[in-house]
Amino acid sequence: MLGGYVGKMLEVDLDSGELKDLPLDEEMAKMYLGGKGLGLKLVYDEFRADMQPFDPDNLLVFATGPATGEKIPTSGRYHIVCSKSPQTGTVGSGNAGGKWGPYLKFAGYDVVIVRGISKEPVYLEIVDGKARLVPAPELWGMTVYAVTDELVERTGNPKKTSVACIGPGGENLIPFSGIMNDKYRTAGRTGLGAVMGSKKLKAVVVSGSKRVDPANPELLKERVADSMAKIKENPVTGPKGGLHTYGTAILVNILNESGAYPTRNFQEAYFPEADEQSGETLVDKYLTGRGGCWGCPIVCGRRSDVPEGPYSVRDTEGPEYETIFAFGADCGIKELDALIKANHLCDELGLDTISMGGTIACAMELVEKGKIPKEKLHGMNLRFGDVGSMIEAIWRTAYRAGIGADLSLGSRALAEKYGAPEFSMDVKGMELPAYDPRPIQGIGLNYATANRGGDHVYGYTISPEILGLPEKLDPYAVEDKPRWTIILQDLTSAINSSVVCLFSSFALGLPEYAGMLAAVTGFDLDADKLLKLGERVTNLERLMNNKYGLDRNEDILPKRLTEEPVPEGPAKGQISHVPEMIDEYYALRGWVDGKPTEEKLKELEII
Amino acid sequence: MKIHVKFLATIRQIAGVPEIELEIHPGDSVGAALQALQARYGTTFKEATTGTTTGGIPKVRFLVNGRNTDFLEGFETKLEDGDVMVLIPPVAGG
Repeated sequence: MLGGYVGKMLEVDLDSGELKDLPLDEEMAKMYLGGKGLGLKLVYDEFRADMQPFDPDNLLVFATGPATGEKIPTSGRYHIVCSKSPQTGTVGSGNAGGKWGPYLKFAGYDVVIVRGISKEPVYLEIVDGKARLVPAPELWGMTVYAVTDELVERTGNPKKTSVACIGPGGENLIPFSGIMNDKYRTAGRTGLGAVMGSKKLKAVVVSGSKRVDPANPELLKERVADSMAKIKENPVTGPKGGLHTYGTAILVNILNESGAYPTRNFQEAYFPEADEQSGETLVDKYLTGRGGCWGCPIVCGRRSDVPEGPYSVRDTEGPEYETIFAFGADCGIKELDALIKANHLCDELGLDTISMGGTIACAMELVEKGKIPKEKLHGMNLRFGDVGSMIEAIWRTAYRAGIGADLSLGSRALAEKYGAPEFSMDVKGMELPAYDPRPIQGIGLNYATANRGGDHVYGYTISPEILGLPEKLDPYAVEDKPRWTIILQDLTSAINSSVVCLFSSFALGLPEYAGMLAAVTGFDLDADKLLKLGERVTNLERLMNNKYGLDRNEDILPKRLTEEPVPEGPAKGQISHVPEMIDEYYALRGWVDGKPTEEKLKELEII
Repeated sequence: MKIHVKFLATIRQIAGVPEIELEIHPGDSVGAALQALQARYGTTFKEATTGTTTGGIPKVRFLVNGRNTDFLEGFETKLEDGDVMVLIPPVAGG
């Protein structure tokens, strides 16, 4: 087999209970690498335009890549794809760190393909190359932390075991529930947890210790040393660098001072109390330690502790910048201890924090504007700044309790239900992340065109526009933003197919990734070829979305962001210019009205 | 005249405070304000706010009223009474 691959996929048919080993197709691996690319290709080969999110044929694919579990820095990741997302109606897609990805490979598989629906709750166990389905009605209903502890204990080999599972959110088919691994790591977006829940698959337990040989170990060693040196000397990714010291929450003050910190459901873009929930405050008041994913020299994870007070929670992890924004400024809430609690609760219930926070913020605006009648709230004081209601809304959503049944629809359907669709801050049904696109033109174009909906890490233009990495782009300017957005989207598709962490790209570029991947796999790869592979992956995903009926009509931002200038703060008066950039974006992509042309698909060898 | 200066991340650690009011002269630029800060906070602060890192990344970036001064006049960007100047060391997230 090729270097970097086990060469084996596990196919799980939950209808029949049958498990089957399949060989990994080498040509497919050369074209799509692994992770997101390989997962999409497997979905595409069985594509049905009439697929429904909870259809038994909706494939759920857990895919590692050739980098996963190798000595390549930040390679502790894997990607999950499903044929149809319950949240967006697009192909579903999510990525997570921790140790689950490497441990799947060590357990003997590159990929797990799940189809069908089990008659009763089960979990899948893969230990040292042996897979089995285990009936588990007793686990159904358990929260993420509890079921993870239970299943790790059952294997009897805790240090070599990792659990990916769903919580009550996934079981209850919440369209923005995630798949959680190692308790706190989340493939959070597009509702993959609900797809897993629909299949009655509670967890996938992996355990093993068989390492996968690279094609050229000496060359890999040399290239890893070069990349590791670049990561270590970089002021962002280095041992005492910004990410390690402060975590992603360091962005709170930076975005706020740039006038791009979405506040009160994107009604504003500056939150005067932001410093109280910043990365600096997190370090000063609640940080107890730092932790990293498997094989990561950056170590950006937070360990936090709130020992007392109404939002007390002990020895937890996080929160990330996105979570702080979603439950914080976006809900008009300043108290960081409450945001740590909200994050802990979402991880326990298996909910995506961005969509959960965005949905609560939307509901708060609906209440503020009199769209949700008081009697629907059953006493909840769901208004901006009300901490108790924000936290209560989370568990109510996971269990569809009271107003939680409405919140569980997500912001788009919620706002439509109450006659005010303009209050939903989403793209393609997925709630927007933590960067107001009005003063940052590239990120707006990325949100609008991202195949999985409102997604910042589809093409992270924040890196050049706000952080000045790898070069500086004026965030207010529209010139050249389509080209940059495309490069960053395709680079990210390549990174998610490798699979390594996007954060390594603050220090590394295509030449470093291509060099290490060539050494692992033996493939003929260079920077241009790897970017082309990323373009293939992005286009394949777009093609399937087109077949589901999506086109340029869905590549749009909420009207608030293209028609209502930022009202106050440093970016006062700014507005998103996506409508002015989108045609250039399509032309550069070789798309017409949001659809790749036949020529483009042939050029990329997709058809 | 006075401007409002905010320190982020490691620069805040070195300065020991999150923000200050800084007295400057009319017509002073970002560069002049930085010199005044370096004089006030000493060698460690000066080292942390001068030049680039090993990888060629500037050790500090400036926002003035929310705008990165790289897209204004850089160190020559003129400051006015009441301006907000933010000092940001190399950091990132996602």
